[in-house]
Amino acid sequence: MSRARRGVRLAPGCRLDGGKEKDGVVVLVCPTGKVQLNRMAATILRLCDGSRDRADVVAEVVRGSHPRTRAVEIMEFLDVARARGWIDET
Amino acid sequence: MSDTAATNHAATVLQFVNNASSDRIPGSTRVSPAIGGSWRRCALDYALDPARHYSPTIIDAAALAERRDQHLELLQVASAEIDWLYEYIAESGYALILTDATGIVLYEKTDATLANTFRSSGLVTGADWSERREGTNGIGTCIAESRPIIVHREEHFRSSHIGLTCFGSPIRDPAGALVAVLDASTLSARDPRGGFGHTMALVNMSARLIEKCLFLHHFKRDIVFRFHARPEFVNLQHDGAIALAKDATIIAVDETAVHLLGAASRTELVGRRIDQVFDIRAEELVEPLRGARTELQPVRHAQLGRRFFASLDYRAPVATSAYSSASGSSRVIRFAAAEAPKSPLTLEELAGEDPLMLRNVRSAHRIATLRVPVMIQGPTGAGKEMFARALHAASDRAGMPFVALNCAAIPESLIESELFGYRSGAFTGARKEGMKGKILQSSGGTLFLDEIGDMPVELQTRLLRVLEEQEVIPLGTETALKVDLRVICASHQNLRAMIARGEFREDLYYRLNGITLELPPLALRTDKERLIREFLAAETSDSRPAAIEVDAFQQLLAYRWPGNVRELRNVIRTALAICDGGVVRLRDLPSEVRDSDASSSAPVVTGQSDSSEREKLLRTIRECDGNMSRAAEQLGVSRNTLYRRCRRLDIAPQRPPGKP
Repeated sequence: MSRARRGVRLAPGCRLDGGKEKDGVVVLVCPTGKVQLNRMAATILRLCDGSRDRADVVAEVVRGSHPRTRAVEIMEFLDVARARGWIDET
Repeated sequence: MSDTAATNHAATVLQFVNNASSDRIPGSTRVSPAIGGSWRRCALDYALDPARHYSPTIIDAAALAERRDQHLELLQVASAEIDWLYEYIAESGYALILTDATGIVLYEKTDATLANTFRSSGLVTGADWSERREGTNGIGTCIAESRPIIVHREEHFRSSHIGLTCFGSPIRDPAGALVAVLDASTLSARDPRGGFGHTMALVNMSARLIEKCLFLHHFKRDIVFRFHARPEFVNLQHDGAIALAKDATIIAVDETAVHLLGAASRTELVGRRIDQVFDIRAEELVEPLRGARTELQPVRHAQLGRRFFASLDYRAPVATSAYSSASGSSRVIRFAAAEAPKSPLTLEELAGEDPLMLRNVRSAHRIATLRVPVMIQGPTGAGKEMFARALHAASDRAGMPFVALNCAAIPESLIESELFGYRSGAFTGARKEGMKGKILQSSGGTLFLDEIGDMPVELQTRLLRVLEEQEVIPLGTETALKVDLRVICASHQNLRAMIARGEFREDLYYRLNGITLELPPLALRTDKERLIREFLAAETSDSRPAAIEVDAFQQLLAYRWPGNVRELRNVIRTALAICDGGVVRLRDLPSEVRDSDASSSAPVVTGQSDSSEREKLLRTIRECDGNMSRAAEQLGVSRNTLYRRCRRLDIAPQRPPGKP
């Protein structure tokens, strides 16, 4: 079975908001409600633009962040994000 | 017991011992390896005769005093625990016994009705209960086996003890060596696995508690890391404790820590660094713990990934400069930097953006370097002690001790000695060397008297004298000692009302109340949203993804928060630890927060806000000399509204002076 690349992107109707103010609060606005994100969560979701698959997102986040950042935590976050309908994998 | 029974028992035991290949006694009852091994030691190594009546071996008074001196700390902790345990199982026919590692009884507490029987069995202070003397028994065999053991009736080696059922539990020092045995013995346990089981569990718990106290006492100058898989167990006796050197190397672990971490033994952990055992991030260790050091934080086992909650107890004032050059690792330096003695949150950090808090902070700064006594008023959980510490830290006395006494937390009878201290021998049971009271300890620094309203009236008089004379007379002495006092006190009670009822001295009130600072409860703070966001960021250090769904966020805002900022932070920390993938949802919040009625969020009308609203109204009315029109104007409400509020808050209508 060939493993097709599955791009991961924000689900329709979801967008990221904010991050420009001094307090850096980024909010995910989706049809089911708003979600306030910390910086790492915002970084992850910004990378979900359809051009990367899940593994790319994880790798890229890990590369660019704190040395103690754990890939498993990012995957768990992506799992929840998909379960909550924030992101799609196509 | 009949002589026949005694003779039969002795014969059975000897028959077993002489038949080295069997683990059964005649009649085919199996003897447990521990008991069988003990019998063989007694007969073959110690040459004891099971039938013979030996008189108890009791060491002389001088030797006993010497042993008790060697174990002062143990005795202090254990005797209190035994007294408590005794109350708990009183009248159930038990003797509770503490021995040292050689089996000498250091302390005992015996059911009075059975005292004579136990005494004739040799269960008295100074008696030697090692196997070598008394044969197989709950104490000696516990020492020999180095583990908890029950010795039931005929399992005793000597016929004269077969009426007894004993359970001994070892107490270990931080290195794991047995230092003492706690034993419960009874003459009435027919069924060892029945009612006695409950007592065994209690004895074991008490032994663990004593161990924990010894551990914490031993490392009182070090950092102690305490953890458990369940947050509510951290800092209780069931948690694991790890003592750390200044460079984060593990210097000791207790039995529970070994167990919780699935280690084979203490040696597997001692000598490693704590960040090799847990995935501790230096900044998580340091930053969130500034100020309140007992807050919990989630940690993971570095290899197994198992989740725990931990708290750090820094009691050791550590000089960081010498050590940071020695270590060379930046993480460790930051780790140590947090150990600065009692570096509390600053006044500014406590204030946040809340207007009332900011006003408090301005006032606090103005008086920080004066010796003006400060009275902090606020509901329980508003963070009165934290504020007092911040005030102390901002004052010119910051380098001197901050000594706190919570008058509500200790029995009235102890407040006096705690506060004034006592001379050696002032009363029975007092420590040999006497004790320096809190007043004297705080001299040059700050004395913080929490819940001053709970101070007994007689002591109020003595405290007043101390404040006026700036000298203290410890109990049992006549010499006054000069002190340099600055007092901050706090109360959640309305002291003025207490004065009216004659429960608080008015002159003391004025002496203590140089300035009053009122702390708003968290519920009334206007900057909760910012606090939640900051905690969320601080708890994850942005190295972990974290998000909070809006309904959970709203619920955090809407909840009435009877507690303080620390409680809010704990809720956030715990939610982050238990939530899936770092996304905090409603279900991750504690039930009381989750179930609070969010629809009532707009006007927060709780008992607490009532009282603080009442204070505010009263203050304004006072400032306006009772002129209700002016007060209403100042409050920005109509006169009618003001009257209505006064009625609701039970404030008598005021009349301007001169207009009866």
